[in-house]
Amino acid sequence: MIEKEESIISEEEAAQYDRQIRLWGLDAQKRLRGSRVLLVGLRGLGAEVAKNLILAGVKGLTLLDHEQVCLTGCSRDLMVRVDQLCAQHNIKVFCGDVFGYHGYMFSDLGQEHNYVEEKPKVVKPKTDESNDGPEAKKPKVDPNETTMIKKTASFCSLKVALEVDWTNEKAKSSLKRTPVDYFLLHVLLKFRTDKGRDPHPESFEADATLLRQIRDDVLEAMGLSSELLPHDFVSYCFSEMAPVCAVVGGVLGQEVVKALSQRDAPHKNFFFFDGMKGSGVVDYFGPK
Amino acid sequence: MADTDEPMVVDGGSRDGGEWDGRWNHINTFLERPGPFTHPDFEPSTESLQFLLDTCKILVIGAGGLGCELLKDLALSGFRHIHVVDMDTIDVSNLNRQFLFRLKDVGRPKADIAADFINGRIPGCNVVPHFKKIQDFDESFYRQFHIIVCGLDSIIARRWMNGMLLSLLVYEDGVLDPSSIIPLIDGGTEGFKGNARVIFPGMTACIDCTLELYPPQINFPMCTIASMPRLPEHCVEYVRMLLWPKEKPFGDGVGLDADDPEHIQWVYQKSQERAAEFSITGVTYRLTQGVVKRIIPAVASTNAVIAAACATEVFKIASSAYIPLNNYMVFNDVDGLYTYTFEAERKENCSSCSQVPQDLHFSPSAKLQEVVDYLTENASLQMKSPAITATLEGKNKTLYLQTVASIEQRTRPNLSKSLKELGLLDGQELAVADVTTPQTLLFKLSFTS
Repeated sequence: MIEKEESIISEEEAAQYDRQIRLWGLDAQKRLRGSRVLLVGLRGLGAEVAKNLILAGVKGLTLLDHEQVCLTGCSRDLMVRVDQLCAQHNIKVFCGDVFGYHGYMFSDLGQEHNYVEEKPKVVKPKTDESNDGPEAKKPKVDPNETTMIKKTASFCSLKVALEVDWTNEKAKSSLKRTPVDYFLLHVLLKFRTDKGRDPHPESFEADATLLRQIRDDVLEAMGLSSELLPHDFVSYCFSEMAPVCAVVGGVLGQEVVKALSQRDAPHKNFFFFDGMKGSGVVDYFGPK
Repeated sequence: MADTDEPMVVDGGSRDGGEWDGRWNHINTFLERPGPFTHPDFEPSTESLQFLLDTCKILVIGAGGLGCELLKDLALSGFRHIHVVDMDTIDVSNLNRQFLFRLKDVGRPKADIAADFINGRIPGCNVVPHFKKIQDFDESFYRQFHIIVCGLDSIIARRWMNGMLLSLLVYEDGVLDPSSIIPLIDGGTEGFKGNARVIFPGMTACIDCTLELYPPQINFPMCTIASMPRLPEHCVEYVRMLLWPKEKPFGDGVGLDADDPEHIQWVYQKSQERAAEFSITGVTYRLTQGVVKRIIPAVASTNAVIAAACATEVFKIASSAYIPLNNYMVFNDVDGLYTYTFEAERKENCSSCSQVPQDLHFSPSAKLQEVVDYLTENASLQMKSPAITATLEGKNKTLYLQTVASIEQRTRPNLSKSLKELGLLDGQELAVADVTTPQTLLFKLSFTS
């Protein structure tokens, strides 16, 4: 929720936040200064996100954690319910988790998220120029002058994003370009729902067997081959790697800042990080 | 932004010995079992964790934006013997991202405060601070570390560090002794962009192998500043470089102090006047300050990502359990999110790590100034203020040295003398010293025609 009254940035704050004000402007910083954020879950990822948001200068951060340290994050059902409840009240929702070397972030900024992008001003070329070459066709860009372009993005709910139908032909053809992390997420969330906790190294053998079983069930229910997640996927999704939390927490923190300040294009709507490959992917799952 | 003097309420060091059940479970998952992605030579054991906790010594260079994140990540990942070097003190503008510091710490040395915070927060961790420049230490200091990770803010410092680690390499009969290699993990950020790279000195691409990849520093041409300004930055540079020396607004011999608000205010007002003359918009106090202090925008999230990538590499290399990043990762979230890793290749004739003697080709009638210009302007050398010495008639003679005023004055006439006049011979060795390397570089003078 962003407060209606104009926030004032004091002189001390302008000095403290100087380096980031140079990045996203004073208006964006004012919006941040009037924002209140609810952060649910305080394991490795939650701690990193909390750090990044507080450093960004939000007005208030409410921390909600119903579990003790080293137990589970939010179940899929809980996340879906919270997301739906927030949608009714126009509250933006972010979800994220880290499983071993893998991490993800999801955002639902509502049906109509308005934001601005700062782009260099395009100066139309004069029509009476005699040269007909390709240079005349290129619109001249004036680097000094920028203009704020208003844009809108539309997001779907977590429920819809997770319930994409893979049985139709169109979906099957796009499978090659789809990050497998999406399916890995389904398996891990199902594990969390069934066992009430995340895979734990103490019960590695049993958990690994269960993970593979869930993989088979989940992929079969989607009408997909269980080969999509190779046999060894279980080895790298136990516990939470601190640096992976930092990467995902960094990206997630920045997404919250962008959404609150309504500046710059938000990632739509998933970000997956694979710590083994060092690769980060933004992808959209949901209706066109 | 309430700031209290109360100590942080954190459970630090009060538990017996700092260990509790399951404390390192998250690390053990990676070290006590084999997996499809572990290093082919990796043998799972309980010893890897002990090495990390008790023996492994890491040096973190810089306790700023990247340094704070690095110290946090390393301490949480089980590293307990960490040294940190930083020559800076804390400024209020650091507080938006350097989270080990508080308002009350402004003015104190970054290394000291960072070490205190981590030591108090992570039981058992021992961070040793050094409020010094990297150049204040010699080989005996650097040799004690297993891995060195940098969060520096200058290319010169990186090159110096690179040169130092190269100087530690031991070659026996032309073969590199692997135990003399200290891996260097280097991270850098600027606004929403960043990169992380892994360097095995003597084996993989070093900093100087890829020197030409760095974008050139923004230095506006004098003619633009003096007569044809277009940008607000040109107006500020005009005032800083031309107007201030002329008008001496705060007295004779008083140089522009970028940290003095009164000085910045004067520059700002004069810049506005200049801008008005040329109908240029956009001169603000903030812009003026940014140009004079060469400020680079910075935010916590980019530093979090890059430092984490670096810390992951430290963990992989220290545990020998995983194949390290090979070897240069870039990250950019200005527009969407872009990240890519490629293998930077060694330069065959790299001036720092190739061991290929560097030739200087000049005509005997060329002036010494031309040699100095070449050393500073050549894209692969990019020296800052090279000092050239040569052995003439059995004696070591300084041909030109810029960094000591008295010697500069004495050797300045040599610049306009030809190499022949100076008594230099074909095939002569010239020794060049510069801030970009801790070791003197040897060049062979090769006369043309």
